[in-house]
Amino acid sequence: MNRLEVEFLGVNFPNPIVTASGTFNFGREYAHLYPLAKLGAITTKGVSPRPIAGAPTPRITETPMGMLNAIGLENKGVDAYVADELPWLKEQGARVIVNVFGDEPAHFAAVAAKVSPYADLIEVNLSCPNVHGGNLPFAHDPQAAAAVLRAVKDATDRPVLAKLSPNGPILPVAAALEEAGVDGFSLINTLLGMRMNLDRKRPVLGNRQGGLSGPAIKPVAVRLVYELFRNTDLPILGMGGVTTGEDALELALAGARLVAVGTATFADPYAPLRIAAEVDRLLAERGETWLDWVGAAHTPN
Amino acid sequence: MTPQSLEVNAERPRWDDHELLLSENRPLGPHHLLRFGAPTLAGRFRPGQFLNLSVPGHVLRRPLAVLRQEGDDLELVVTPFGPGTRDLVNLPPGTRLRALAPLGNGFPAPEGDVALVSGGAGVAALLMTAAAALERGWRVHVFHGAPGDEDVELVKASYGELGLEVEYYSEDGSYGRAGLPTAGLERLLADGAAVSVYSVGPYGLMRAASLLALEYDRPAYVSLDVHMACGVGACLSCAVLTKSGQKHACVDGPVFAAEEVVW
Ligand SMILES: Cc1cc2nc3c(=O)[nH]c(=O)nc-3n(C[C@H](O)[C@H](O)[C@H](O)COP(=O)(O)OP(=O)(O)OC[C@H]3O[C@@H](n4cnc5c(N)ncnc54)[C@H](O)[C@@H]3O)c2cc1C
Ligand SMILES: Cc1cc2nc3c(=O)[nH]c(=O)nc-3n(C[C@H](O)[C@H](O)[C@H](O)COP(=O)(O)O)c2cc1C
Ligand code: FES
Repeated sequence: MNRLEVEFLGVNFPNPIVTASGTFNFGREYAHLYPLAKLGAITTKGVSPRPIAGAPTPRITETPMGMLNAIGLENKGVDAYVADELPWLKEQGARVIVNVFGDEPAHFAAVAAKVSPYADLIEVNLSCPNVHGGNLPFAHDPQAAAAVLRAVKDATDRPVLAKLSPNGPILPVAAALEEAGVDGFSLINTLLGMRMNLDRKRPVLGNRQGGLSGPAIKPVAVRLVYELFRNTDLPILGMGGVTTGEDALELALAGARLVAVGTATFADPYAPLRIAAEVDRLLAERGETWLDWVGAAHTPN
Repeated sequence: MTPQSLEVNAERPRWDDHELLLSENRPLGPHHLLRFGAPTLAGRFRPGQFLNLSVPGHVLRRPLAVLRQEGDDLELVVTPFGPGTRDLVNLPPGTRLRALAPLGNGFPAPEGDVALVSGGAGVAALLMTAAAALERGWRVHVFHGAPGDEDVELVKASYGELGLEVEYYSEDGSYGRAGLPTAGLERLLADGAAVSVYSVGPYGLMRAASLLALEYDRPAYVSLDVHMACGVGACLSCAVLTKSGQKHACVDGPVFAAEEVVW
């Protein structure tokens, strides 16, 4: 019996543990370690219409039980990935969630249209700045976020997830996205933070501020997934600091149907598979399945 | 090469996650020499390659050059810098760690006499190149720089073990010659020595050594120290601007030809 099997927006996943965007590139770096098809899915690095060089270095630094990153959305642009990485990734038999972004709705849509043939799901990163909206992230402006979502939905026949930011209220944005026709949610993206260099008396990161990820943010992720689950019937891909099978089950209880693993993969390249195996063992001990746990914290006592 | 072109580069090492057992932890002035049993990595490192080492209680691994490999053993030099390296140098023998390895491209094999220009733990990345050059019968000139006399033990435990004479430069004049090691390199190059220059240390040192080598039209290589998370090409944190575009130090480097780097 496969305790871990889960259907999500019409796609069947052999296990619910997927890689998080930006922490696994397009999978090639890890493909000699294990078949990528063994993963629940791969979420790709964020893809934009044109190449982006990214932020000045240092781009990462460790913090207590976490890390800050300011990669600056470096990527080679959608055409390079459609020519090379995405067809290769599909050939590996992997399920693919393509993370897309842009600086206005039409740009998101153009990327989504080009990657659709290779995407099982599309994840829209709303944390990037809205160039025509005072550079406020789309994720913090319900109307701008909804405009992106409508443009993407018009451009693709694949199910679309909106990736929410923990740096502002999520419920008003989620409501606007639902009205715009979003199929599901993923959360959380990183929390903004900073670390100082005492010698230089300046921020460590080249970009000054960065996104906090790793175990330090897990309680925030559990809370936000829980809060969102109470306010939506759409499926949730949860993430934030997941390092063990117990962590994944916490997010499942809160309401995550799929769980992404990001930062943990840097310390352990086998982390997504190890976590899936740990979940399997924990469920086997209890004679339960993954689906028994999804949202189970919300059932009346 | 970009991280995406992994499979077309047969030279690229097939790294994996290996277990290391700390067998010795010996201070060398402010530095520490860490010796590990690492049977699954025996003979796997080329000069200039590195590993990404776990540190108990830390979320990320730490990239470190491999000083020496002898049979099942390998040695690292660690300079306590921030929280991770401070914890690392306090670990007792018997501690089990994990390392992603072998990583990075490494230095090209010397094809003639070499000049090594090092600072601090930069020695670690250069020692295997020194040994390879000696094995091939090339001359090895060593210029090492430090603020004072703190690197004397490190130099003895590394270059000294190979029987190499080191021109030691201290900025405060407390040991060896007063000044910077690039003074020695400049003298050698001005004498017309047909050496390749290999430099690892603080950015300013590598830059100065590289510009000197280029001025005298000699090949030069450096190992760039960029903050890393994954160490394997996946996170894109280790960007380096080169004359042929943006590269990533963990897979396209850490070794770069001096003329490739935008200094
Ligand atoms: C290829 C390579 C080889 C190296 N070899 C050696 C060596 O042989 N001996 C030695 O003592 N040091 C070496 N370093 C530098 C060493 O990795 C850093 O000093 C160390 O990572 C700092 O960690 P920390 O916890 O002390 O500091 P923190 O500032 O707390 O580190 C936080 C994070 O930033 C990263 N980071 C911080 N400073 C550096 C840095 N200078 N380089 C790379 N990442 C950094 C760390 O990996 C960590 O993820 C090497 C670096 C590279 C890239
Ligand atoms: C180095 C790095 C790069 C990331 N890049 C992206 C990205 O391109 N797009 C995106 O939506 N999220 C990106 N993220 C956020 C992660 O996908 C994830 O939401 C977050 O890190 C929380 O999960 P974790 O704690 O398991 O890492 C990145 C995270 C890290 C650490
Ligand atoms: S350290 Fe992750 S890409 Fe180089």
